[in-house]
Amino acid sequence: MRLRPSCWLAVLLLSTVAQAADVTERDAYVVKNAFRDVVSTPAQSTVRILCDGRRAALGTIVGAEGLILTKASELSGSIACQLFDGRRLEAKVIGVSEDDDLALLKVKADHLPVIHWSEVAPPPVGSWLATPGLETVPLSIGVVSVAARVVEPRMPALGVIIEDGDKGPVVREILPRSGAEKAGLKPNDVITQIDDKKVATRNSLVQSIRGHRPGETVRVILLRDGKPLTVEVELLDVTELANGETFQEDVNGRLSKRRTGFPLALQHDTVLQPNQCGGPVVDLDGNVVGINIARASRVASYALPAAVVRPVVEKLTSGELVAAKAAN
Amino acid sequence: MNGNSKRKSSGGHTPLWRVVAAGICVTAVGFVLCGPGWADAVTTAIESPRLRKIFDGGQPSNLDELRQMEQHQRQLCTKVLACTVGIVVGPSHGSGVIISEDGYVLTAAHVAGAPNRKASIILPDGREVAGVSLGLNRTLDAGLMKISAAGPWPYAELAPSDEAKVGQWCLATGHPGGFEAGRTPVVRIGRILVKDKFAVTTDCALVGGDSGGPLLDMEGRVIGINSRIGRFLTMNMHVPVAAYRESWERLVKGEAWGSLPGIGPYLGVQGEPDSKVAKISRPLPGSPAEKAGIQSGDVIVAIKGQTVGDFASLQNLIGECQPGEKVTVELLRGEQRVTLELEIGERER
Repeated sequence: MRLRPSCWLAVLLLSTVAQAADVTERDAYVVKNAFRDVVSTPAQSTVRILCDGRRAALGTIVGAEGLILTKASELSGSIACQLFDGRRLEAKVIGVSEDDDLALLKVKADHLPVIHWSEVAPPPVGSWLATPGLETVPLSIGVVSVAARVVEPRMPALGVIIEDGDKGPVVREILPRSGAEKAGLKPNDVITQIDDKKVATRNSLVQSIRGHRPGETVRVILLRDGKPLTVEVELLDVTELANGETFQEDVNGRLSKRRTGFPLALQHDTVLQPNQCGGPVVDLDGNVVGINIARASRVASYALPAAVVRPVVEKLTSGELVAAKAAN
Repeated sequence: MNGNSKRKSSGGHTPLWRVVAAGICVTAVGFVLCGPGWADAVTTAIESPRLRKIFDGGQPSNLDELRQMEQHQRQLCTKVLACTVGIVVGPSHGSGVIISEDGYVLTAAHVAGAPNRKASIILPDGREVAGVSLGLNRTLDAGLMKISAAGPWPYAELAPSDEAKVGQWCLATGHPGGFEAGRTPVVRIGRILVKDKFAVTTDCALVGGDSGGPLLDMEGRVIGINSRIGRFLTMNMHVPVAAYRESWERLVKGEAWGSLPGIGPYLGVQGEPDSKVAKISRPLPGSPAEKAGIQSGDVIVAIKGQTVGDFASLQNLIGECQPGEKVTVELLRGEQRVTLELEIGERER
C-alpha cells in the first residue's frame, strides 16, 4: 500500500479491526450519563441553530429577552432557533463580531433561562469539560488539552499561480486540492474581479484575497476565451495547501471552516462536528467556561473563554457592534 | 529554541512503519534509576481504591466520581507534560518521552528514521537540546534516542509489559503538527479499546506530529508510544511498551532491524544475471543507486564492507539492509576503484 508522503503518521487502514464495544470507549453512553447533573441546568439555555431548516450550529441564551449567542460564520439564509422546550422561533442577526466569530441573534421570547458564566479562571489541563445538547446527557465530553492561548489567523489562498497580463492577472497554474481546482478554474483564465472589487493586477488580486480568511468563499469573475464567467471559490489555508493537507475529511473528520484567528482559544479534546459548535461548554459545576467556537483538527476543539466572550456580548447587546455583513 | 519560531510538521519524507507480530516475553528490566533523582519520576499514585477501579477499566457513575477523576487528572497532567518532548530529525517532526534520569527517550522508529542521526530534542518550555538516535525496531515502530546533554531529566517510568487492559483509562501527549512555541504538549484522555502484540488501540485522537509521544496509564507510566492512525477518530495505535522492554539492549546498542510487512529495501539497478560479477547494466532513473552515483558498467565489489560475488549475491546483501540505511558501496569503474555512500530506498514487496 502506497504511503501518502504528506501524512507520515497517517495510514488509511481499511481496517478489519472490529469496532470495540461501545461501553469501553471514553465517550460511551454510560460515561456521558455520569455527567447528567453537570448539564441539566445549562442544557436548558442551549439552543439549536437552524439555517434554511438545516442544523447549522448550537447557541447559548445570553439574554432573557430572547438574546442568543452563536458562531457567526456558520450562519446563512433563513435562521431559526430550536429551544430546549421544543419551541422553534425565527431569529434575526442583530450583531456580529468578526474578530471572535460571534453573532448575537434575537428571537421573540421572554423570560428565557440565561446561562451561568464561570467567574473564575479557565480550568487547568486535565479538567473535565461537558458540551450540553438539548437532552439529559451531554452532547459530548472531553478534557482541557492546552491552556488558553492566541490562535493566529492564517493566510488564505485561492490556489493559483498568477502572472500579470495585458487584460489583467492571468492564471498560469492551478494548485492541486485547492478551492480553485474544485471550482474549475483553468490556466489562461483572466481574473477581473473578486467579490465587488475589480482587480487589474496580480498585486491587487493578492491584496484583495488577503482581506479574507481561510474557509471563506469569494466570488471570482473571470474571462475565459474572452467570455465572462463567475465562480465561487473556497479559500484555503496556504500552508495546508503547500503541504498537500487540504480536503482530508476522511482522516480528520469534518472541521469548521473558520477554525483559526481567535483572540484566545481554550483547546480541548471533545469530539464535535462543525454544526455542534457555537454553544456553551461547562465545567463540573455546570458553569459556562467558554463557547465552543471551532472543531479545529482531528485532535482539537477550541472554546473562546468566558472572559473573552462576556465583553463581546455586552458590545453586541448594546448595539456597539452591528451586523458587519449579511449572513452569507 | 528561538521562542518566536513556529515549528510545523513538514510531513513527507519519512519512511515506514507498521506492526507485525513479534513474540514477546516480559523482561523485568528496570530503567528507573533509584537513588538521588528518583523524585524526578512523574509517577502519581492513585490513592482511592474506588478511583483505581474506575481507572483500571470501570466508568464514573456520578458527579463525585467525576470530581475525583478530575483532581487526579489535573495533578497527573502537570507532571507528565515535563517529560514529553518534541523531536526533529532532518525533515521529520515528531514527539518523544524521556524515560530515564540520564535522558533516554522513547519515540517511534519512523520518527528516528535510522540509528546515529543527530536530533533536536525540544523540551516543553521550548529549550532545545541535542540528541542522537539509537536503535529501531521497524516492525513494531519502536525507536530509542538519547539526550546528549547531562541530566537529570524528568522522566516517566515504564509500566510492566502486560498490565494494560481493554477499557483502561489512559492519557496521550505529543505535539500534533510539530512543536509549536507557546503550546505545551497536547493532552488527550481516553481508554484502551483493543490490545494485542502489535499495538494498543485507544480513542485518544492522534495526528501527524504526535508519533513517538507517550501513551500513559493514569499513574503516569508509559504503556505505549504513539504510532499511527486509522480512518475513524477511535482508531489510534500505539506501540506496546513491551516492544521497548524486551529489546532494550539491542535498542541501546543502536541496532536497527525488522521492516514493515509489504515494504522492503530497494537499490534500483538492472544487472547482467549471467555475469560472474555484479555488473550493473544500468541504474534505474530516480533510484537510490542513481542518486548515489552508480553508473552503467560499474561492478559492485562490496556493500557495507562485505564482499559481493555475482548479481544474485548483491541482491541478497541488499535484502538484509533496511530502507533508510546508509551503506558504503565499493565498485570498480573500468580500472578505478570507487567508494560511494548510498541510502537504501524502499519498495513494495
